[in-house]
Amino acid sequence: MDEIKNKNKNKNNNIPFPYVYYQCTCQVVSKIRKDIYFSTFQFPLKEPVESEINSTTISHFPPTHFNHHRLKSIYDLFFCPSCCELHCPDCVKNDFLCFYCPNCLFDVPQASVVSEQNRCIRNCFECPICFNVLTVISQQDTINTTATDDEQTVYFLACNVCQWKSLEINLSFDKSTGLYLQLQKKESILPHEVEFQNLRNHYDKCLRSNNNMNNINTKRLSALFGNTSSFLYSPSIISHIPDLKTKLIQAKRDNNQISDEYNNSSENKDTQVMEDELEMINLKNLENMDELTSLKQKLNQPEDQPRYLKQLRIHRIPLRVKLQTKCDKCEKILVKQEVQKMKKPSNIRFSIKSFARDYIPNIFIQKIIPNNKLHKDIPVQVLLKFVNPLSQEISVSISTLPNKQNEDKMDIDMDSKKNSPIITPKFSSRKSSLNLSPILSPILSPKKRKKPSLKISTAPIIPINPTTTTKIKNPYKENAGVATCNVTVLAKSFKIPAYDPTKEFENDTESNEQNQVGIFEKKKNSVSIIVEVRPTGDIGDRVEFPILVTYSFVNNEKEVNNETPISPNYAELSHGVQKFVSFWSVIGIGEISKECFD
Amino acid sequence: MDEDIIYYDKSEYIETESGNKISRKSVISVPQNIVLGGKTIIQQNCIIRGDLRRKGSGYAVVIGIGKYCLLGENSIIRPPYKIYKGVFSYYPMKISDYVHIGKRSIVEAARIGQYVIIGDDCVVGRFSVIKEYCRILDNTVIPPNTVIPSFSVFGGNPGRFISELPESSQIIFEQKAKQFYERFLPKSQ
Ligand SMILES: [Zn+2]
Ligand SMILES: [Zn+2]
Ligand SMILES: [Zn+2]
Ligand SMILES: [Zn+2]
Repeated sequence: MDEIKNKNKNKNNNIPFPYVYYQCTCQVVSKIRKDIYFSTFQFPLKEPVESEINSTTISHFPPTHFNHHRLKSIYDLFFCPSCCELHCPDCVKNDFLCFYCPNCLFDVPQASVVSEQNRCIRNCFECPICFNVLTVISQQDTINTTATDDEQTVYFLACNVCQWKSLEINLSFDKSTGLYLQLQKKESILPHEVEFQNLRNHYDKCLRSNNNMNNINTKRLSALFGNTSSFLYSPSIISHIPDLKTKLIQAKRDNNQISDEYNNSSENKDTQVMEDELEMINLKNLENMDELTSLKQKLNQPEDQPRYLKQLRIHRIPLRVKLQTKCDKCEKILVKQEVQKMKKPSNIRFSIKSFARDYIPNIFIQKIIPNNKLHKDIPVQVLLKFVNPLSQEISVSISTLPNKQNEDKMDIDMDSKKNSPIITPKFSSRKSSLNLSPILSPILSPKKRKKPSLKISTAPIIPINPTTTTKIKNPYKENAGVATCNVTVLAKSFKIPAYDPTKEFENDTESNEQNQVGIFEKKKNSVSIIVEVRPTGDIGDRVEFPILVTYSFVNNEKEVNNETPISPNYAELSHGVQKFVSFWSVIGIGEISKECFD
Repeated sequence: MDEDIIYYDKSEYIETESGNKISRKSVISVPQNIVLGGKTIIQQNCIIRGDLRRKGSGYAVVIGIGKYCLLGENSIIRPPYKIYKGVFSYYPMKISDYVHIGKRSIVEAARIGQYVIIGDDCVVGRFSVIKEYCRILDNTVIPPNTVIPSFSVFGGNPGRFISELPESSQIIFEQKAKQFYERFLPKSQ
């Protein structure tokens, strides 16, 4: 029973099975930061950790169960072609690209946004009652009048949702176009608009005079005094008496402080004064609540917050913004839509898109054999399909974490050394990884090595004692649930042919060549490998395992062809250079269910 | 993971040359007015009103549907209508590629862009325009004349903007639509 209790404490946060998720580079960065911090206890960190990231460092930081919620699906990831790194929505910059109206979809240039008060000036209005879009309707269409053409048609706005009509607030239009201009005339005489304009004029004046005072420009000073005061100083006198100059400024400042105060009663008689008592009487005598506005409606009109529906006005639709995505590290634009200023974009087009799925091998769980419930110690075969999206052949090498009971059965590490090419990062033995780590070794002084955090605390802790059972409380077991399975990959390295769009509709041709051991099938630009998974955990444990994927390719293209968007623009990559990229992915296949002995 | 295959009764469906799979239990009025892009599935009890068209003789495209679309069971596709200058008239409807329409949904939109997923039990009002890469949640009522910008998620009654979709949604939607067609297979008897 304890086992069941122990099982999923945070089941709801877990990713549903089956899945293939990826660890973003930023997770590695934050882990390195954490490790450095725990080894030095200094903050802020001086080392720019990001620049140290490469395929070797990434291999030292496998995902742990602690940060599974930080894993991403391949569709959420970006790939920066100049850094050759994965990026997720948490580690990219979102920059403003342009304003647009969500109703008429026009892109609005930034210059006109302020003057148009962040709202659309085309015929886009929202209903003051229910905030849906209003439509222009001519009276002719609603009433089946036999009106002749010479009779003037009246247009009004109507809501398709709540059937509100602008006629209810006595608003109609002579023309069906340019409603904003027609409306603007009516709005400009509203009390709050007038008041705002008065305030603005007043403070503009103050600002101008203050500015002039601050720039001690003799010419301006004289011009100013000539206008506003009766004193007439010649500029030459002021410049000759330095003390007078400062005194003058002081005097003027004192003067300004008085005049800065805006006196509304003297300048403006239109300001609406809230007749509170009258309002109260009206409210008390109210018979029908339907006349009153809701809080939401009031707040949609913050200038006067009307109490009655009749006082509501039509508002133009607020603009929204489009964003572009940039690499956090090198500022390269990763995703950008095409923007056509003042034009209605017909279709969304991307001028730049660097999604991870167009750059890194896409991993899918093709099949689990047998596709039954998982039981402890009953191995299943997982077919992992690797798809190459690049237009050049890639070499892929795969590593898994050392298995729990490997020591006495077979040495995977030995195996991998035999089969894998040089590119396989020799991370599989965790003890050696410390020495190999290019970033950690210089930072860590030999003294500090004794600190517990230096054991790369972020790496999943595989129980050293293979006889670990539930009786011995393993602190990592409960939380992490790692090493709930033994994973064996036979095909540790293989090549995937280039993606060729012209072949997409061709039928698969079975290649006659003998398949490598551990490879299930090869199809066009994909390779399916067999991964044997033997669950070793308890009932209810999640069977999920990280794999390190390192792929390499040689930039064969002599000139980067920008016309094909799928082809990555490895601008920084010189011709013929082999490039290695590593990432961790986690594959989850299910939960261990109760043993049955049928 | 390859998703499960959806089997259908082979005798129930007609498969056209371009790969459209149309249930015989669906009602398609005046098919001459309807254009299907290919590899589109029309499930049982769908109603497609190709007969509702502007006055005039002969055939005209009343409803255009792109490729890899799905019209779920009991969905109704009906061209939008309005009174313009005192005359009542129907207007054509265009549904682009990779559009999935859920079960029991009623669609009277003017245009639906590519890669749109409309949930079950939705009403898409007259002359509404849904741009590319959108998702309409189940039980949403989109009021007439609504414009839904790209990368939006709409839900509720009346349908409102709920959230934005990531730019990569195109890939997901395309894959889903293609995979659905490939999984939709006749029973092998
Ligand atoms: Zn990230
Ligand atoms: Zn607009
Ligand atoms: Zn309304
Ligand atoms: Zn970058």
